[in-house]
Amino acid sequence: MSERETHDFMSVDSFSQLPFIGRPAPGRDKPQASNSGIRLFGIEFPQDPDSPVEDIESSPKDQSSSAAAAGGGGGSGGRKFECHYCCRNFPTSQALGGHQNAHKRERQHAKRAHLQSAMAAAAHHHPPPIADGHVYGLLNYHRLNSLIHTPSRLGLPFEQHPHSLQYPHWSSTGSPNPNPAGRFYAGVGTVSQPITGNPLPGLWRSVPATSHGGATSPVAHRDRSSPLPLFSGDDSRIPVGVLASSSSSSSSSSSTPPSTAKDNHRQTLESGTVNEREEKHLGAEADFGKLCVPGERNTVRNKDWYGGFCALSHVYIQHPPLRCNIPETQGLYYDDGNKLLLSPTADQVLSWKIAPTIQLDPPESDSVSEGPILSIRYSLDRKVIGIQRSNHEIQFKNRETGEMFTRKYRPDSESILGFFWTDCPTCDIIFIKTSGLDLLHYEPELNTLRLVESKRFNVSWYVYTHESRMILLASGMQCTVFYGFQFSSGGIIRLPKFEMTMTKAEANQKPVLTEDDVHIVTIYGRIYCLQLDRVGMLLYLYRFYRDAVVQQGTMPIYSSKIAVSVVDNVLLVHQVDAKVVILYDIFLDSLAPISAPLPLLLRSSSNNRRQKILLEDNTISAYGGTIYGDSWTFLVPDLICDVDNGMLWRISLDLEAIAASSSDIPLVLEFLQRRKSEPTKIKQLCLAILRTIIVEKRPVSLIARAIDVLIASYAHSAKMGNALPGDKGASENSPSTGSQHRIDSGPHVDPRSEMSPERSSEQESSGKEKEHQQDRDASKTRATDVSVGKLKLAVSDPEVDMSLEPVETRSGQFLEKSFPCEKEDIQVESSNTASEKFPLRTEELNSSPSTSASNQQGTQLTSVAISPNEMYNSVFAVVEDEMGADPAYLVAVIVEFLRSVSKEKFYVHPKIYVMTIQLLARNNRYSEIGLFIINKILEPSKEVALQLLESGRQNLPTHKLGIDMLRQLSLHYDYVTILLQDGYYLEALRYAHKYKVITVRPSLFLEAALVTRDTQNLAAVLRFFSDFLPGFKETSDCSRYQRILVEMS
Amino acid sequence: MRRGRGSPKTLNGVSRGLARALVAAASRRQDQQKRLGGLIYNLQRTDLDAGCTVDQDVEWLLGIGVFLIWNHEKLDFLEFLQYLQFKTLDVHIFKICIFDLRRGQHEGQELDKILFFFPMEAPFSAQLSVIGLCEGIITFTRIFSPEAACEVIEAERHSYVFYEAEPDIWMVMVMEKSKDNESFWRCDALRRILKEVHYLFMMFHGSLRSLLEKQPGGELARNRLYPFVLDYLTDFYVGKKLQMPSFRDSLRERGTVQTLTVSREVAIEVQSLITMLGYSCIGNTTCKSVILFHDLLVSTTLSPEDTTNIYTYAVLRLTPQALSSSTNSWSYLLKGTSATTVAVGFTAATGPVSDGSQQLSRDASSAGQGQGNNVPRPLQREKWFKGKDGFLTTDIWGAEVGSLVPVLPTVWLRETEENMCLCIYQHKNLTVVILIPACSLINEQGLSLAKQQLVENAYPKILNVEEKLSRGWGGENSYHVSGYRYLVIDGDRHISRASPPGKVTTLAKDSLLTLNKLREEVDLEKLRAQRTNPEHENDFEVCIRAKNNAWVIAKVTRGKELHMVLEKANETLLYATEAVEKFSNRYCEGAFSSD
Repeated sequence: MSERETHDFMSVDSFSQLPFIGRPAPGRDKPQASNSGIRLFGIEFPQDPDSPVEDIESSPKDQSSSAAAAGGGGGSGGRKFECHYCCRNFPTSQALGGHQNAHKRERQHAKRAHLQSAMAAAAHHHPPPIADGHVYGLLNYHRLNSLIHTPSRLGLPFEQHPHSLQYPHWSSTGSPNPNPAGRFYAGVGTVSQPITGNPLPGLWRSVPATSHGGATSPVAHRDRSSPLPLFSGDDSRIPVGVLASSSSSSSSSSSTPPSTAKDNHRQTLESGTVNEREEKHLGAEADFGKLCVPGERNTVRNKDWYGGFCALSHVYIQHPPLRCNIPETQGLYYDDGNKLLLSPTADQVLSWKIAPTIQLDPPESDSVSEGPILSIRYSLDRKVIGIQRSNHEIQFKNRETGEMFTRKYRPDSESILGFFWTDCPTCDIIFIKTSGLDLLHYEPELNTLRLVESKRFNVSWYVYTHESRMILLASGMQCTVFYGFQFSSGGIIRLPKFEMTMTKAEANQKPVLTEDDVHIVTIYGRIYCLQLDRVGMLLYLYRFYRDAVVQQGTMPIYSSKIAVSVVDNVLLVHQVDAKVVILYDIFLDSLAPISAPLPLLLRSSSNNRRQKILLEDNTISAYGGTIYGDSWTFLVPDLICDVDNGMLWRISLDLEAIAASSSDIPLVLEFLQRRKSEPTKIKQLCLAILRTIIVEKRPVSLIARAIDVLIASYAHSAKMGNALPGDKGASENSPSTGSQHRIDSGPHVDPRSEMSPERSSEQESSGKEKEHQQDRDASKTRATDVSVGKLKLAVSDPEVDMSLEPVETRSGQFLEKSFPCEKEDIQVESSNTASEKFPLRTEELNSSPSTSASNQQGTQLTSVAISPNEMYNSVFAVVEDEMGADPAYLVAVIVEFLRSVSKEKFYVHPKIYVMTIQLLARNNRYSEIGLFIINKILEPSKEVALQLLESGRQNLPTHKLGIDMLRQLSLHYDYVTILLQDGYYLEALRYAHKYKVITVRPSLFLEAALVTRDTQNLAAVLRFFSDFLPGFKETSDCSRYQRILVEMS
Repeated sequence: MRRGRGSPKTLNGVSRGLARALVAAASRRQDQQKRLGGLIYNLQRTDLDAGCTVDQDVEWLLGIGVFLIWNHEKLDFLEFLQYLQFKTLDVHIFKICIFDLRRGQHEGQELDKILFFFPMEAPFSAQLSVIGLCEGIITFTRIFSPEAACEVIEAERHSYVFYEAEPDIWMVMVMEKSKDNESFWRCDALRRILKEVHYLFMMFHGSLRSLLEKQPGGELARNRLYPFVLDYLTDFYVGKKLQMPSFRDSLRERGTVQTLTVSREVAIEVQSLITMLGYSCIGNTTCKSVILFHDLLVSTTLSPEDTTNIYTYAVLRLTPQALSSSTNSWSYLLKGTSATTVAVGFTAATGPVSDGSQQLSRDASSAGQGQGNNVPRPLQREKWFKGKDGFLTTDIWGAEVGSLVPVLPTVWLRETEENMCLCIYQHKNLTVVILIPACSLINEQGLSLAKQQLVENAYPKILNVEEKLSRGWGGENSYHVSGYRYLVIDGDRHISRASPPGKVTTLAKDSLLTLNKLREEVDLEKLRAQRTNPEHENDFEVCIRAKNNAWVIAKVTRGKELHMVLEKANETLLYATEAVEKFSNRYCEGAFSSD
């Protein structure tokens, strides 16, 4: 066993190092804890609730009983049905049958898992032609790091982590296994209030041991003692198969290959001791981890879990936070409609505007009357403040007039669950009551609310985000039946009633879904719902369509407490108990995580790395609370509020770290190109990655794919009219609805022949796009959305139908969706009619400014897309020096670049052609220059022609190519000059005469003729000028050469 | 061809007599019967096809042959028959000799200087007389022009075309002028044949001088030259007649490559494939490659000269057309191959001369087999096979000791002066010739690994390129420009493009004769310009009216040549000039537009 008994989750280097082991028995007798799935290739292998895994708790006594039964000769006390696999007894044959079905499934899973891992091994040998869009392969963290520290000439623009960090390896082949930390918490069904618009305190209230859970849990970690080699020569590209075999052979009893997990379970059950079972099981898990980590396991750093400069992270929160703990305030409230953080004092409400950036200035204040406050929401035009005073009363105050009024309900019949303002055309405010929804219209003149419509349901609780304009109303015993509405500026859409899945726990115990378990997220403009299944330890993903709710799959969770954020369209699933975050890029339908579970990092804003490390220590110690502490509230979409300490953070992605965590460069680039925040930084990062792989001379095919990704991304942004400077006007007419999808499908359009699944998805998305074009047209012409839904019905393919976004989602909230972090009120307000919105949204989509959403200019500067010219300037021109020794390789890369660019029919600056010629000439590959020119691979231009002439000094045919090109380009002056230089003065003269080139001085011709000492020719030239050039006879040239001619003859 | 003494007799009759004799002979040797039957059939058929007549002495030879068969059991029927077949060819009008002036300078050693003589059964006295004449002329003209001694001698009945392949190693082609009208040719075209065969020889065997230095006796060089040149000549047989380029081939240029014009997009794809082949296919070695589509060059990474050699060889032996060899190639290079059977038999029988003993020996290989080593004959026909893996294989270079795996052919590149292994991959009509540095392939495993890597890495791209090329492929007449019969030559790049041969044959004989004459003049003019000022390339243009009122135009502009026949042209010269201008602007990017 290890020298360390305790582990924390935050400083481990690899997920496989997370303690998967048993804790003292009392802590873990919750049934749901053991039900955990294995994820391979994004395929879920859940262990069935009835499977032996689930039966662990009962196994000791079961076994004893069965042993007793065996000893007693069996059959005593009525018939028993015993399972041959796990020796459990069942009262009926049906029960046994069901149980054995579970075994059967388990065997199938094991078989499949085995197959998959074998495939994975093969796949890493030879990258599979069909790459899952989200499977990020074996990692090569050290690559980028080495890049960072080696070529200073490359001038890496971005800050990097201390290179002492070794990023953990996260393999798509074997996802990490369930984190047992989740089993700490029995707190199922925490009762709390809605996050948004409601009091923040009290969330996660019932977490028993969270704050010190990770740190204090005794960890029986199977130590593999020898440290991971840091930046050693052997890299992570060691084939998985090799590793797998070596690890399984080297690991003793503790490690078993995944394929034998079933046997494990059986053994454990037979042995009867839970701890042993756990260990074995975890051994297998550790093996999974080991698949990804070459060499032996690193020792886990026993740091403070929340910090230390050793901590690795893909996600961080930036220090300093917004501090709003003014002494006299009473809690914090968040108004997500206006993105305001509100803190009421005795007689006023302080509000901090947190969009587009967290504003650190002193808050605005509004005076309100005293009283209890349940929630506060400003109206979307900020003219009215609504304050929920109790379950029956909401008070409103007009901020301009100061008039107040109150709306009350009878306490006995119904109670108010909450309210929110909406930009829906028919109503302004919606009350959620236990008996249903009230849609009300605010009449400013009368300063009162008028009931527009009531919808009657039984509502247990609700979830709403302004971002999605979507409200989900839970009802039913288990609160799993949902009614959904979308109140958008386009109108009201009612979703079909649907039911969420809950894994059944023990008999007679029905888990109740709480509002903490359901999260609405918008990713890439699509609305999803995430539902936590604490029993099944699964996170279900639903996607909302206009007329359907479709379950998209599940994600495993490793904590019974989950928080969800969306940062830049990346889904962050906070495993609160485990204190780690798992990132998903739900772009295609893959639900594979894009990174290893790593802790959230508290990072200071200093730019200097060393200083930062120091600062981090300070800030962390200065921060009184704990990361993922009880008082943390996760606000939609990407904010964290520490209620106790009155702090607000925005979550940020550490894109460098994410990029560094994967070795599949094209996929990384695709991922980065989909990001919208920090476009400049992303662009630099992409360029740096490209430079690195070129400098490292990675296979040309890989680079070709990487370039394809970037160019395709640029092509799509260019199609939307924003990537090319001066092309802004086009955005008015550009297909805005389609463009959303174009962004989405952008990087995937590169028709790599091997990526057939992507192709199909591309087709699908293009189909979608077409639909949206229709939609857009329809909505533009009619300015109404009602008809749009009908239009969609015309589509033959139901799949395409389904995947259509509701028009409403497109119209208003895209503003926010495309910029999860920032949205300006003005845009919401102005988005009252669809026709107005389109250009606006286009603007939004096109420019993806990090600083200001309203920034309509300078999109060129802020777009993520990299134009071919930028690529030349920042990649090829830079690496050319680096690659001095091997121009051939660079030429190969340039050819791939040209291929990619020509596919999209972009203009390429002649500089790159010039460079190609230089490189080829350096290798004496003049014949290939000829081929390049003749085949027009290098497009004709003056620069190219001049370079050909320059390079042609050593090679006459190349020189001639240059001359020919000048002629073809009709660069008469240059052509004549060059001809003269070469001594072809007669030809030059003829040409000059034909094309009326008068800029070349006659003396040059005469001089050239004189050099040949041919009196006839000289005389001819002289005669020519005398005849054709008026006034030539009077010049000194004429007389001079006439004299020379006389002398010569 | 009406020649020889006495009245001509059809070979047909001879063959029948011979066949009777052979059948009788074969009846004694059951094992040969079948082969013999086939050969007799072939003999008869080809004779009938060609409708040739032969000299009486051939008949006499046949008789001798039959006699030999009867008396020398060891002599292979087949070989003799092939020899006879060869004998029946009309050889007297054509001679090729290769000799080294540095050898045989002493009395009685004259034979030593002969490296090759065709026809090889010519008596030594005849050989020596030809070579002696040539040597004398060379020595004489060297007095006046040491650099370029002699180019051509026009005698009354013969043309002697000289080519100094290597210093002091001369190749001379002797063409007999016949009375009929067909024997007009261009000496430069003939010289290009000599040049081509020498270049190809160098590519496979290295220079003659090095071979002579390696083995001063000269056997090595002779053993290689004989089969090589004879194999090469098989491509010139039409029927059983050696047909050297005549005036009818004026719109062809030997020693150039014909390229496929591709769009930029496809060109980039091809280039992408090339770089893939060059840098990432086989380990870290940098490979060269030449890609052909049908008989047209698509891309190359070699120098123009090496490209020409590889291209020529590929068109002769490697392209799908050459492999099947049944179909008549439309290539500019390949002439009729209808006489395949004759040619095959011919090559098999040739090369009996090895050490000057002039005895009929078993065959070229066995003759060169003194050392027990096979002499590779890269130009042997029908020796390349397409394997299941898409690679072409051959046993020309023999097999490795103790295995059946054929040795990979190697070629010597002029530009880089290194040996490269020839690895040919064929997919449909796309032929990819990959040249792997010979030093990098250690053994057979290395090769198979290389092939495997190649297929893995490049296969998708090859498929892609082939598909795109096929799509854009306009067929063999795709470069036909209606109204024009043309030949464009880019001398710098050794590239030419011409009207399809099928279209050229529609020209009247007068036009062709005029063109031939014109080209001869242009050749002379070029040569003169070259000699007076090698730095300066003269432009000149000739436009003449042939007897049949066709315009025959030649235009040379800075290393590029355009030859053109306009038969249905208007009366005026202006019209002809405009036609040239139009053609130039449209198809030559204005290279020949008059300034």
